[in-house]
Amino acid sequence: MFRFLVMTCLSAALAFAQPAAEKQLQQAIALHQSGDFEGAIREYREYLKVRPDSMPAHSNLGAALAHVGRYEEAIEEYRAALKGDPRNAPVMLNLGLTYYKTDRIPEAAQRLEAVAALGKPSSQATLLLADCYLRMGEYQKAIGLLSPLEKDNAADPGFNYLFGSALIRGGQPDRGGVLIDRILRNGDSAEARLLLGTTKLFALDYAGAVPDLKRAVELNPKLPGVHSYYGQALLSTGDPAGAGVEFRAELEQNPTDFMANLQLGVLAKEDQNYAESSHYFDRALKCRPGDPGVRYQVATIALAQDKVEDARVALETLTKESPNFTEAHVSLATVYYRLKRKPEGDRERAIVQKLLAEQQAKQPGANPK
Amino acid sequence: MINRRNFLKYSAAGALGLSLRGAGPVPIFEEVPASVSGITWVHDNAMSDSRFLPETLGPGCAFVDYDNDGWMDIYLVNSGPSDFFQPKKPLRNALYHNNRDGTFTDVTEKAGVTGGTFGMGVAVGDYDNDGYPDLFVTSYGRCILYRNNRNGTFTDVTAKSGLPMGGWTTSAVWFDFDGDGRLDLFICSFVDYGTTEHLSCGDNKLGRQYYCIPRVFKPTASFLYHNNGDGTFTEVGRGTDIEKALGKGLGVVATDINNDGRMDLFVANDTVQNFLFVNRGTANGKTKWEEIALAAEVGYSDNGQARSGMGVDAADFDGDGWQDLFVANVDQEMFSLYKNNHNETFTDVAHKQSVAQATRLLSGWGLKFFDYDNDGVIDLFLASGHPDDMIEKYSNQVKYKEPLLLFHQEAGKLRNVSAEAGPAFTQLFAARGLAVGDYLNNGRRAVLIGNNGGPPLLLKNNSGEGNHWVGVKLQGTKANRDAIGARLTWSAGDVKWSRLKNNGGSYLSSHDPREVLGIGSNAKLNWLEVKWPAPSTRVERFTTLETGKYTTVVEGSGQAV
Repeated sequence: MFRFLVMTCLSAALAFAQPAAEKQLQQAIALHQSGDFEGAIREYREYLKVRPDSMPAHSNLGAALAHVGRYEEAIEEYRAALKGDPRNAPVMLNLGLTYYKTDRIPEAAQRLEAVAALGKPSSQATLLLADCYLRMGEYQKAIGLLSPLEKDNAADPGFNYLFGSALIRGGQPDRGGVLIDRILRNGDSAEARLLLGTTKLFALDYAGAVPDLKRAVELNPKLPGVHSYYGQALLSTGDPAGAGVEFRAELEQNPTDFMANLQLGVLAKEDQNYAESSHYFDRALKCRPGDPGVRYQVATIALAQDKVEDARVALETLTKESPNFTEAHVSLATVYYRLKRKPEGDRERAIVQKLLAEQQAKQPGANPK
Repeated sequence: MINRRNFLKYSAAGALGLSLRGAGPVPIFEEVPASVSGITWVHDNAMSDSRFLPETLGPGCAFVDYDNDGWMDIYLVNSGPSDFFQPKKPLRNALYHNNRDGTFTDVTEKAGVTGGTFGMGVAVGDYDNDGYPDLFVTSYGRCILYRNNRNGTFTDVTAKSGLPMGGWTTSAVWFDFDGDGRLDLFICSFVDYGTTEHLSCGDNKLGRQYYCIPRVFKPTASFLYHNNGDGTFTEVGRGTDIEKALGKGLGVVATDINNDGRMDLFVANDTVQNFLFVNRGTANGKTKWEEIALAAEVGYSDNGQARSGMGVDAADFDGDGWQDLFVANVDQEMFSLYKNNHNETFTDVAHKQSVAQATRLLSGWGLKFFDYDNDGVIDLFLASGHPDDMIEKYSNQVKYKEPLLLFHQEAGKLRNVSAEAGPAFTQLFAARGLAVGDYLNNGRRAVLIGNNGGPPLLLKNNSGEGNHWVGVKLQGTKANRDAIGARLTWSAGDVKWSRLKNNGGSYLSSHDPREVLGIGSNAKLNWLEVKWPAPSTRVERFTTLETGKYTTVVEGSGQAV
C-alpha cells in the first residue's frame, strides 16, 4: 500500500513540474525509483527551494523520508503537501500511516477517519483505522467499522484476529469466540492464543488466561499487545515483577502501548518512583489523550509530591468531567483538607460517601435475609 | 546447622531455662512445640464446602494472668455452633494456666470459659477494677463477657451486662474514653451476614464455593459501650460518628493521636475506608467523636481506594512523642505505616521503611509494634495468611499460608530481619490473631499466634542478650485499674524514652498488659515517670525500680512531679 501511493505521487509530480526545474525534479524521481532515497531527498529539497509550494514534491519527499525512517520529517512534508491540497486522499492516508508508524495513534485515527469521509476507503485503510480504535480503547467504533466487512473477510486470519479482538475487548465474547474458532481451524497460533487469553481476562478469569497468553508469547513474541496482555494476567494473579518484565518487553516493540505504559506507571508509582511513573503516564496519554484514569494517576503523583495546587486543578477538572469518579473525589477531598479548605473537603467527603453507598447497594449481599 | 531434632532439643532446653548457645545459632524467636508447652488445643475453623465467611476469620488469642499470680496464662478462642455450623464433637475455647516452668495446663473447664459460640477473638480488661482481668469474647453470634471471680473461675455475665447479643463482632478494646476511671468497651462489628441464609460466592470454573470478598456484604456500625460501674454497660455510640460510620471492622486500637490526653480509636475496615474516631471530649455526660480518617489521610490508599484493612496497631515508632499507626491489608495492597505529622494528619511511610515492598504478596492480621530485644526502640512483628484457602488456584504468587515477618529498627529504619530470625520464619502459616507476652518472666516477650484451622504457634524470644530491662505492672487507683492511657517516660544513662499505654491493636487478640521498658546496655534505670490517665492525670516519678524484674507501680505511691 505504501509503495503504491508513492508511485502515484511520483507521476503527479512529473505532470506538475515546470520546465526550468524539470531536470532537477526528474533527477529526484529517478533516484527515488532506483532506491537511492538519500539522493532523492537531497534533490527534492533542492527543488523545493525553487518551488516551495509544490504539493507533489512535498508528498514525494515525505514518502522518501518515511522510507528511511525519518518519520517526523515525513510528517512535516505530508502536512505541507496537504496545505496545497487538503482533500488529497493518498497524501492523507500516507500521513495517517506515518502517524501510525510513530505510534501517534489518535492523530493517525483522525487522518484515517478523514480519508474515510472522503469516500469509500480501501480495506487496508479501514483495517488500519480499526486497529487504531483498538489501541485507543474505542472498541465499539472498531466493531462498527469491521462488522460490514466480516462476510467478505471470513477466511482472512488477520481480519478475524482484529475483529475478534474488538469483539472480545468490547464485551462480546460469544461473537468473539466464533472468530477464535475460525483462527483455530488453521492450527495453534499466537493470534488464537492471544484472543483466548484476552477472552478469559475480560471474563476476570486471570489464572485461566495466564497459560494461553504465555503460549502466545512463546509462539510470536512480536505480536502487538501480546506482552501487554500477558503482563496484565500476571499482575492480576499476584506477580507484579513478572508483569513488569512483560510490560517492558511490549514497550520495546511498541513504545506507546497504552496498557503497558499505564501499568508500568502504576507500578513505578507504588514504588514511589515518581519520575519514572510520570514518564510512563505521559506516554500513555499520548496514546489516549485525556484518559481520565491516567490523568487521575498524574494528579495523585502531584499530591504525593505535595504539589497540592497542581493536584487541585487536575482533580477539580476530572470530577467535573466524571462526577462519579469516586477515587478522584477522595483525592480532591484530601487536597482541600491539606489546603485547610474544610467545607470543600467535607463536601467532597459527602460525595464520596454517597457514591460508595450507591456502589454498596448494588452488591449481591446488600439485602441479606 | 539446625535439624529438626536439634531444633526440638533447643526448644525443650529453652523451656527449662538452659543455655545452648555453644551448640549453634540460637534463633531470635524459637517455636515451642506442643510437646514442650503442653498446649495441645487446636483451632477448628469449621471449613465447609459452602465456605461460610466466618470460617476464615478466626482465631484470636491472649496472654492473660487470670489468677493474678504474676505469670502470664494463655487464652485461645475457638469456633462453635452457629446458624451454619453444628460441630460433630463439642468445641471449646481454651485457658491454659502457666506452670511457671515454660509449660501450661489446660484449666478451661474448671475456669468456666469454654465459650460455646462461634468465637472470633478476645479482649482482656479489668472492667470492674477488682485487680483481676475479665474476658470479653467476640463471636459470629452471641458475645460473652466473662467476669473473673477472683478464684480461678469466671462467670458469664453477658445477659445482665447490656452488651450485644448477636451480630458478627471481631476485635474489641477496653479503654476509658471519658476519664471516669472505668474501662469502657469498643466492639468492632463486621458485616451484615444475614440471619436465615447466607450469600454464597462460587466459581463456575472450579465448580466450588469460595469465601466471599467482604465487599459484597452490607457494612455495619460498630459499638461503643460505656461502663456504668455496676456491672452493666450502656451503648453510647448512637447518634455519634461511631454510629454514622458504617464499616466492616476487623481491627481496633485505642490510642491518643493528638496528645490531648483523651483516647481515640483507629479502626481497620475490610474493603471500606478505615476510621479514625477522635475523642473531642465529654460534656454533659456526652462524648463527642469525630471521624477524620479521610482528612487525616489514613482512610484510603494513595489511589483513593479503600483497602482491606485487618490488623492494626499504634505506637510512637520513631520516638518523636506522637503515636503512629499501622494497618495490615490484603495482598497487592501492601501494609500501611502512617507517620504522625503532629497535626491530626499522617503520611504513609511504609515504602520508605521497606514494609510496603515486603508485604505486597501478604495478607496481614495479627501484628505488634514492640521492642523485642530491649534495645530501647520499637520493632515490628507481622503475622499473615490469605483468607481464601483456594487462592493458589487463582494466583501464581500469593499463597494461602504465608510467612511471618520481623522488622528490627536500626538508626530510624525498620530492617527486615526475618531471614535471620529463626526457622519459624521459613515456615508458612494461616495466621490470624497475635498476642505478645512474657510468659517466662524473663523480660523477653514471646509471641503467640492463632492459626486458622490449626494449632497455635508459641514463639519463645531469645533476643536481647546484653540488654537490660525493667518490667512494670501499672495499677491505677483513681485511674482505671489497668492504667490504659498512661504515659510512661523513663531514663537510663543519658537516654530518655517515652511510651503511651495503648490498648487493643493486633487482631482479635490481647497482649500481656505489663510494660517492659528496654534500656539497652544501661545497667540501671534512673527513673520512671508515669502520667496517670484521667481522672487524676497526676504525674509521679519512681526512682527505685530494679532491672531484670517486674514491679507493680501503684498510682499515688510515687513522688509527685
